[in-house]
Amino acid sequence: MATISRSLLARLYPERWRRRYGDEFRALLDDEPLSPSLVLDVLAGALGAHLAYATEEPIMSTRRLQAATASIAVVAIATTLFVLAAAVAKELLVSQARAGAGSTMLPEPAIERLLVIAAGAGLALVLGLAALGWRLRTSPWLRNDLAQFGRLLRRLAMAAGLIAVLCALAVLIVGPVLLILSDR
Amino acid sequence: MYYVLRYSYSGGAPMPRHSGARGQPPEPGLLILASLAGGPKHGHAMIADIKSLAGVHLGPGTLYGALHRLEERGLIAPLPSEELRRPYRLTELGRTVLAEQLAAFRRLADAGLARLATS
Repeated sequence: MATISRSLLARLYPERWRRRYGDEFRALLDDEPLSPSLVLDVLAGALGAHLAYATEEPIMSTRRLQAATASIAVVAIATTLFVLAAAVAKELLVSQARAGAGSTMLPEPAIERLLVIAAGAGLALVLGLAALGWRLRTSPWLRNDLAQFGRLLRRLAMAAGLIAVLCALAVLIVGPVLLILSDR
Repeated sequence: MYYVLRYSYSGGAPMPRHSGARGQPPEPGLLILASLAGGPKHGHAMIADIKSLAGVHLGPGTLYGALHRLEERGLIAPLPSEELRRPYRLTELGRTVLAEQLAAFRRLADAGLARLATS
């Protein structure tokens, strides 16, 4: 049980940190008696290491971030425009057909504009997707940066989890002490 | 150089702190440098040495957090592993920084003791 606990404690550190210090740290942990203070000490150390690496590693550059954001934004906006314009145009066409069934009335200018918007948005969507796909295929930096961004988010989430555990432990330890003191 | 050994993880206080039974223990970085001034040591030996030197028990998390910072700043350097334990040694830069820090402590201690004697 103690071996598993020490192993879990060591695994709280970032992978990069463990690659460098993992073996010697684990050897040192094995020499120390397992205690609440040891757990708190390692939790704080792991939190510090996560925060240190999270702030140390370069996140994607502003230019790359702008390029990636622009590609994704083009796709998102074009998709929204296409869906909205196509849906409204279809609705207008259906209601017009119902109202003037059998008539040879031409579409209203509004419907024409909507159809133009839908066609333009569809074209932008196709071009945006093609640009993003081409970037992902030919530019490893975007894949790397997105993966790096994901790692940073995971690390921040883990840091937040560790803070929550530390707070919970602090409440568990300090709470009973305060209760005892208040009873006196 | 005074701030070289500031905590980088948490942005803590500068290194020089009062050491003593009722005071704040010195920062782990200073304790480690002082321990390595006596020769290369691995983690377990450092913990034992610091305990006897300053009466402070450094946990593994605190020790390795400080070792990481000191190594990044070039104040200590790892030696080849002995089985799973890796010893560390003081670098020339680390020796200089430690000497400056201890001299600052000595000046502070001398000035403080002199004032106490005259007050």
